[in-house]
Amino acid sequence: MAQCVDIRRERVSASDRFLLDTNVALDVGSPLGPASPQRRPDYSAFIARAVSAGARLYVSMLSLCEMAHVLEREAYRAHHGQPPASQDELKRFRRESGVREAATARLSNAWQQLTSFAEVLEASVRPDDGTEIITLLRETHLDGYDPLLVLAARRAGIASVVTHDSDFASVRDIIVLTANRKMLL
Amino acid sequence: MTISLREQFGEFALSADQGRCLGEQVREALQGGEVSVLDFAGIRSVISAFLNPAIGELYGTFPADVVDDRVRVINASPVQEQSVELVRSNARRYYHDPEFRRAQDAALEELFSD
Repeated sequence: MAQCVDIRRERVSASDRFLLDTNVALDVGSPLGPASPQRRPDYSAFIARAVSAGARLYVSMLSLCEMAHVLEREAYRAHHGQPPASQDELKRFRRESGVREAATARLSNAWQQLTSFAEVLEASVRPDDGTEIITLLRETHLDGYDPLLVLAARRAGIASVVTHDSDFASVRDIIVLTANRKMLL
Repeated sequence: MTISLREQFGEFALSADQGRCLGEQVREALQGGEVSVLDFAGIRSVISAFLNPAIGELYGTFPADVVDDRVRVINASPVQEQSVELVRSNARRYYHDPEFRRAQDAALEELFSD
């Protein structure tokens, strides 16, 4: 199991390094829901503290792709008033005039915001990573893509992941910084 | 009234708390009928988490044309200008289109449903 730490209480120093998970990247880098009770100000407060302390923050290219997926689904939902009922509906939607341009403009802006204070983590995949990915999926509750994030963090020597996703609590040898109460019980 | 973000927050405008602090100053100015000029000179990084409470939430209190006209941004980089415009356009719709608002709140709920 990961060591889970309350992000509101974490003290940060200049030698610290943190990887931001996709949910946190979207929370701080997208304009979604200005008054939504779902927004999580604790993550932006932590990022401000970390940058101020001189710590290094990272985002993964994998998050860029996940953000594209989430923003496209949100655009569909905003346009149709409900989530897509099928993958076919989503595929048709992305072919409509202007949809792709608007989605990539928002994605590009969010990514530029993130990379104005965080470094991009190399997301290299090696031929023998399959075994490790399958092992991670067997031994943890991570979803299908997140083992790549864990591997990238390990390779870069980054032990701390900032996330709201409780699946990360099941990963050994990492520190999870979170505001998710489920992980802090 | 001109507000230098650099003087108030340093080179990085990153947190929702900082944004809320700026939003309160702008809100008071708007209530007095003043124009607020937000000076981005020297700002290396500004993100939506900051801009939403600083500017976006004003659209929930004041008419959109008032915020558009009386909250101005100067010395922002092209990316920062785009970030401000995305926050503005999103907030305009969020506060005036209940279906859009429900969709965004639901998207965030899905993101943090854990």
